[in-house]
Amino acid sequence: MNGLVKAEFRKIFTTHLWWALLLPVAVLSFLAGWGGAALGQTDLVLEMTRGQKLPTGLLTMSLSTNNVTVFAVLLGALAVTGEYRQKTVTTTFLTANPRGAVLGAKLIAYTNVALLYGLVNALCSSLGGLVGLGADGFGELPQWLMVGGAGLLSMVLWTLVGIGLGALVTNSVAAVLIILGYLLVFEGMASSALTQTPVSWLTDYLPGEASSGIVGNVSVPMFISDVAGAREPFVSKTAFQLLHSAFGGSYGFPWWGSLLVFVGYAAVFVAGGWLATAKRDIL
Amino acid sequence: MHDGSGRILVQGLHKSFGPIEAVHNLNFSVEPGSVTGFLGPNGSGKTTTLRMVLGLIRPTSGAAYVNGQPFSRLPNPATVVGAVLDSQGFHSGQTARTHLRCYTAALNLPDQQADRVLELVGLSSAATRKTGGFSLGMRQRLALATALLGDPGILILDEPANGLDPEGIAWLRGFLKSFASTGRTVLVSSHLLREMEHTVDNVVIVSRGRCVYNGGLEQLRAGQHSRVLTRVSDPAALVTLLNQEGMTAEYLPDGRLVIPGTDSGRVADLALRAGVAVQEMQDENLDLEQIFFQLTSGQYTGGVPTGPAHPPPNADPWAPSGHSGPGGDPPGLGQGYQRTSAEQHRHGQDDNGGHGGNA
Ligand SMILES: Nc1ncnc2c1ncn2[C@@H]1O[C@H](COP(=O)(O)OP(=O)(O)O)[C@@H](O)[C@H]1O
Ligand SMILES: [Mg+2]
Repeated sequence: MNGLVKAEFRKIFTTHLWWALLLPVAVLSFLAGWGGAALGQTDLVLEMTRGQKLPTGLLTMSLSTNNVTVFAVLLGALAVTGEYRQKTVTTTFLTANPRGAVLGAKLIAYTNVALLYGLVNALCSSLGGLVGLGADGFGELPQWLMVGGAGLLSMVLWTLVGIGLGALVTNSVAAVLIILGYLLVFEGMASSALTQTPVSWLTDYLPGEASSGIVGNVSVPMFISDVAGAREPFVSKTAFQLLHSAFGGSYGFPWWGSLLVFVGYAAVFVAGGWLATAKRDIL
Repeated sequence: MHDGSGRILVQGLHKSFGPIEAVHNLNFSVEPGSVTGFLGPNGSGKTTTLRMVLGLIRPTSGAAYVNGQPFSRLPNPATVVGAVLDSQGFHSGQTARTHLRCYTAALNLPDQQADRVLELVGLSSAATRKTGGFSLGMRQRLALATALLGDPGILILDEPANGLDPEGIAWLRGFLKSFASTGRTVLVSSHLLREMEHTVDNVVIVSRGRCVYNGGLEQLRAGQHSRVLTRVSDPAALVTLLNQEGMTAEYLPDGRLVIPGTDSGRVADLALRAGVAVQEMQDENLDLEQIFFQLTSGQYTGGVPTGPAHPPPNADPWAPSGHSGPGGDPPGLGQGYQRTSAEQHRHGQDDNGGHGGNA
């Protein structure tokens, strides 16, 4: 198994996919951090908060995470479909038994790469925040670590979802279309269709919503409690909802609840990919 | 755990892709110490069979064993069996060496093994070049190098000569022979018997997913595959008797009869019994290529009308009659001879015309 994981690392770092997808993560994270911080510095906000320093960095890290996890799921999916496209999957399966061992090795290796992605995201969005905001926009260190840690979790889980999905569909183009189509189009439509129905709570359980809740349900309550201090119990639900809609999560939903839901999705995709891989004819 | 025998065993293997039956009840074994050719025209099920042996395709029924185990139960399979299936399995951005080092890692082998196999296949000078720029011949060599990484006792190659220049083919032949001469097993497929004639000791010949011959190449070449060309006074009478005896015959354009799977002595006996005068009689041995063609033709010629003088009593000359061991009589031979060559296809249909002009 060690050998298989080492093999996966070699496949990763001798080809370009990992940095081709990490590059936009770095850039977008930086821009999200910078732009978000600048937003917190506008006159309107400063006036509303009576000049109080806001830990906006926590929110923008959340925003940036939820925007770049798409690259994590693409990474995971293309990691698997790439082997089918390049036909290296034949040799891969000829050198490992059972096939599931290869998938296991990929899960381990790509978890590490996803942690790297999460780290780059946390650092770049914070760097953007520093540039736009200065050092005191991030709250306390434990707060920063918590939001950053939630971001790492989200990034890792998305990568695992991607690996499972890639193992299920095996075709790169199909995988990319499914991922982008779902995240950019379908889930938004599904959520808005659900809002006016008695089952609107279901939206919290959709994959995109659940994953952004992992970070958003940490950062938003943290931000509000920082800003409101003793007045926190009197902060209106609307204020929460406004922030949640921008930075992920939903009012009153615990971050670990989102985490559990999304772990469930990751498990389903990985299990599906596992089964499909074991049965598939490699032609 | 495997038994280390170096034997490949295929038992009752079937594979259907939807309505297409790619492999039908294949049985054969491949022994160590020799090169076995796996021969058949395109689409006869060679690739499908080899991939089933290697655990890449799941058989519809039946099983294949490598060293006494199904592939999926071999621990560290690449140290048992190496395979060259197509020359495509490379990431175009990787160099030959980085490609190989992915698999030395997977196999827990020292990285020097990558350079060792590159040298073995004569690719050392291309070690640091990206595989995207490789010629087909170089890809075949790199695929072979990959197969050799785990120093396996069994080597399986699917049409490895494709894309190799004559020099490369000659080199490959020598390589396979010396590999087998160390007591290891080689199973190599080809759609051209000629390509393999001087390399293989044994052959498994498939046609339309069925085994039509399994045994030594020499036995295949040997005399029982002769046919008789004869001119007699009353061909129709002889043909009637031949058919009664379970044999077939066909008219050549010049009016002679072709009687496959027999010799002149037997035909002379029958001519006497039929009361016809023999004007001319000739034994003819087929060369390997003709035998191969005869064994495997029919795959794509179903629509071409062929003209045996009378329908052969055994209507399906391609039915699997099991497989014979070395020295056994290859099933299918001696039947359906009308398909021996393209020329005879063309003339086979005007049987009576040809006869009439010459009798
Ligand atoms: N994936 C597939 N789907 C459908 N039919 C297939 C597939 N692979 C092979 N076949 C069919 O199975 C038969 C055997 O193919 P193959 O094993 O590739 O033959 P060979 O390697 O001897 O040329 C052919 O009729 C081919 O069209
Ligand atoms: Mg083939």
